[in-house]
Formats: sequence, C-alpha cells, structure tokens
Amino acid sequence: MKIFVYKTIFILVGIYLLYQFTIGIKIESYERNLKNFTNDQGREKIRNKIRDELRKANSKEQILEIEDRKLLKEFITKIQNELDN
Amino acid sequence: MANKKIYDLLILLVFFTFYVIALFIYDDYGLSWDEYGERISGFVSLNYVREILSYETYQNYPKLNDYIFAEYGVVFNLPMAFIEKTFQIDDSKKFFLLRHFFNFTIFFISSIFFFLLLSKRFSKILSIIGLLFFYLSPRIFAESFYNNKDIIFLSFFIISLFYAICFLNTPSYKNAFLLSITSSLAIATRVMGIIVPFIVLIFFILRYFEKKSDIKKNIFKIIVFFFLLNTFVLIFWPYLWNDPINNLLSTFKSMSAYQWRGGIFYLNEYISALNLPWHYPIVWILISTPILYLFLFFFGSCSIFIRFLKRFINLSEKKIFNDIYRGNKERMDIIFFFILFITLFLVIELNSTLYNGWRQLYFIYPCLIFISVRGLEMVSRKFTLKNTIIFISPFMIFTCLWMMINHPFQFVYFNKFAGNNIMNNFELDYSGTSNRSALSYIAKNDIRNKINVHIYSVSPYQWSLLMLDEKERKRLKFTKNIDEANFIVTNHFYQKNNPSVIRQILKKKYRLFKEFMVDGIPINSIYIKN
Repeated sequence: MKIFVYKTIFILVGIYLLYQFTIGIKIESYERNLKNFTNDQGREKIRNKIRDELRKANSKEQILEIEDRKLLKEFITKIQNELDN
Repeated sequence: MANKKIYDLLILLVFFTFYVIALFIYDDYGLSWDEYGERISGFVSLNYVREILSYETYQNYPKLNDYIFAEYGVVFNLPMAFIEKTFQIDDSKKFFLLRHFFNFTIFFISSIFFFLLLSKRFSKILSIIGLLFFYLSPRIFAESFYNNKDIIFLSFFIISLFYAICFLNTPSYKNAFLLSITSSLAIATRVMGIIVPFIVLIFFILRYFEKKSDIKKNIFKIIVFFFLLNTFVLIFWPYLWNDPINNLLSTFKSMSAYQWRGGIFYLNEYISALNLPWHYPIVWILISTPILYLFLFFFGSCSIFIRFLKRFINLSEKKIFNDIYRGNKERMDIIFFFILFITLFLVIELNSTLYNGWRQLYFIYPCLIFISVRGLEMVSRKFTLKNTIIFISPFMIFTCLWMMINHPFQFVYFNKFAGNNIMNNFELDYSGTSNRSALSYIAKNDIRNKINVHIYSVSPYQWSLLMLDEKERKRLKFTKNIDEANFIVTNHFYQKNNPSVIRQILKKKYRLFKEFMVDGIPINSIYIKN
C-alpha cells in the first residue's frame, strides 16, 4: 500500500512536470503575451514600441514605397470625392 | 562537559551581542511604506474589540466591516495599538519606534527557536554557524526592525515549525497545544501559515504507513491539535468573529490572487505584478542572499534530493528500514526541502502576485539557511570542520563589515550575481525606508523655519516625516509644485521611465545636495534648484 501510494504520487508529479516543461511553457508564453493587453505596464510597452517604430519611420528619407504612395493617393482622392458628393 | 559549557556560553554570547547591538540601532531605521496603514489596521480591529466589550472606541478610524484591508491579520498591530493607547504614546516618532522595537524583539525570539531547530538536526557548532548565517543576512536583518508583515510572519512561521517538529518527534497533548497556538499566530498573520499544519498532517499520514498502531495511539492528539488550531485562529483574528467560514474563505480567495496593480521595475522594464516572469522570485533570491549561503544551499539541496531519490528507488514493504526517510533528522531535511521548493514552485505555477523583491517569500528563508547548514555539514565532513570554519570565516566577516558600513541601509543589499548595472535592472528602496534619512538631513542642514520639499519619486515621504522629531516635522512641508520647492527628493522608485535616466535628467536640471549611496548605488537623493 505504502509503495503504491508513493509511486502513484511520483508518476502523477512526473506527468505534471512533463506537461509543464513541454506544452505548459508554450501556453504560458502565449498567456503572458495576452495578459500584456490587460495591464497598464503591458500597454505602455506596446505604446513605446509604436513610438519606436514612428521614430524609425521619421528618420527615413521615404516612409512609403512608390506603389504604396500611388495606392494611398488614389484611395484618399476617391474617399474625398465620395464625401464631397 | 567543559566543551558543552563553552558552547553554551558562546550561544549566549551570540544572542546577547545581537540583542544589545539591536537595542542601540533600532531607532536608526526609517518608516517603511506599509507601516502607516498597518497601524491603522491595528486600531480598526482594536475598536472592533472595544465595541464588543462595550468600551468607547477611538475616533477617526473606519469600522472593520467597511475597512478595505480588514482581511489582513492583526496579531502584531492590534497589541501595538493597545500598548500605544494604554501608555498614552502620542508622539508619532515614539509610537513607530515602539513598533520597531517589538518587531525586532519578536524576530529575536524567533531566532532563538531557529537555533533550537538547528540544534535538533546539527551539532552545536554548526547550529551556532547557522544562527550567524541567519543574523548575517543583510536584508532580513534590516527588515527585522520595520517589516511588520513579512518578518513577523517569518518569525511566527519559524516558531510554529519548531513546535511542528517537536510534535512529529514526540506526539503529546502538550506539544499539540503549543503547536496549535504558534500555528494559529502564523495563520492569523498570513494565511500561508497553513503550510505548517498541512506538513504535520502529511507526515502523520506517512506515519500510518510505517506503524498503524502509532496512529491509533496518536489520533486524538492530532484531533485536539486541529480543534485547538481552529479555536486559536478564531481568537487571534477579530475579522473572523462575525462570520468565520465565509470571511476565512474570502481571505483565502483574495490573498491567493492578490490584485496589486502596480508595476515592478525588473531587468530594465516595468512589468505588471500580476504578470511576472517565472524567474522573478528565483532571481531575487539569488541576487539578495550572500553567495556563501547560496553555494552551501546548492550542496545541501543536492545532498537531500539525492538521498531522497535513492531512498525512493529502494523503497520496500519487506525491508522496514527502506523508507523515504530514516529517523527524525532526515525527516527534518525533507520538510525544509519541500517547504522551500514546493512553495517556490506553487508561487511560480500559480503566478502569485509578488512585488518589492521577494519579501512575501521571506518565510522560506530559514529553510534556505537550514539547507545551507546541511551543505556546510557535508563540506565539513570532507574537509574537516576546522578547515571549513577557516574557509567561511572571511566571507562572514566581510558580510558583517558590509552591514556595519552600510547601516541603516542593509535592505538594499545585492551580491555580485546582481552585476554592475543594478539601478538599471532592479528596484532599490521600494519601501521608502531611506526617506527618513533624507528628510532628517534636510532638517539638520537647513536652518529655515519653513522648508518646502517636492517629492519626485513615487514614495510616501510624508509618512517618513512622522519619524522625525516634532520640531523638525513642523519645519518641513511638502509641495506638489516643483517651482515652490526648496528641495527635491527622490528614492528612485517610480512606476514608469528608467530610474537611471531620470537621475541623469535631475542631475542636469538641479544641483545635487546630498546622495545616500550603498555600494556606489544612489538610494536616496536630495536636489536643490540651480
């Protein structure tokens, strides 16, 4: 009985640790990233990342590619015309 | 016989020296963040008791049912509030110093029990060394004077653990009674104190596998223990009187998922306390504990784990000596080992809210020291005790000197594992204990009758003011308008932006008046306008 109980506990702990060190790590990583959206510090980190990207964009000579420029110009003109109508 | 007398004298000398030193220095420490609120908690519960006993209550304190921190234990704060009023201590400096004195005294008493615990397992000389390890732990030493939550819980935890070991070694009604009182003091301070009764229950069940007749002999003692435990927890925790079961369950629920929404500055970024990385408590233990103890802890842990594993592999129903532990001493090793590692594991696994370093886990520190002494025992068997003591002495003397040189800022101790860029990676004076030193310095070095101080960091300097003399207190005023300020103070604890960067900005904009440093790291700075 004693050995049965000890070995059952050992196997259960082993299975739990195996899960934690394989699938558990991945799930925890996704959970942590998702939780960042729900707290001030996580959102501030995202805001800082956006600020960094904007700074990088501002330091470039050209932000948009030629094709993107054409597409956006066409799009904005179309919207303006529809709004004027 | 002569040796025994020498050891007994040595033990008394260690205790005496430690207590006398503490009596001289207990008033050097400032006020930590929680102390002001904890004092109020004491009065809220005292008023509740006075109301039940039909005494007049003290004014300006909320009612227990309306108090947001009602769930916190008041084992320390209620008696302090009672003493304060009984002896009519009206001055804020005096009543906080009173608390510091008793805070330390309770810690000192627990250190005696810690020594007794070590003596049950190790030789006298190793127990004395273990006690010295415990005293020469800078952060624990400093916080023993003012941390009336985590250190008080650590103290009661040690005492209850001692009686748990006594009860497991010799189940008796006397030990059951003493264990129930001490465990209930621990639980009524913090619900984590439930660990000790849980350990007792587990090992009683394991005893069943060894000797079924033993259980029949002792079952009533354990029933008496649990009955008395419930009774004493109820007595020591006024919050439970109104509705014991529901209030206890709500406390468990709120403490297991404590919603502290502040940010923790850790590894150069601010992280939510509700979303800490798994390594947070482990890193903090590794950087804030003297390295010698960590190395010995590593050896001790390996020794206990390997022995446990070997015993587990060789388990046999037929051979009665083949069990997971043999004897009381090995059982102690396993208890301390599992308390430490399982607590750490659960804290990480359940993503428990931690902040301000690892102070919520200080109660496992005695287990760390115990396992370190186990490691020391192992090393001393290989290299002789005399050589081991010669080897470790310089490290202990160094730690002692460090504590003396950096008094009263030992709470900002970091070992070499923390690296060179501590201010960029970790919080320093999160409790604001150094704030008193800054305010006192201003009051002593500026003769004006009215001094305006602007608080730049996120820290309650206004409460630290209560620890100054009355004359100094009246001269200092706080202002939110930095332009009106004569002095700008900061303990470099913020909720956003890198403290090092902020410090550089402040140094450019203002003139540094005084900086309190520990190992070259600024922990509190005073600026004046150019």
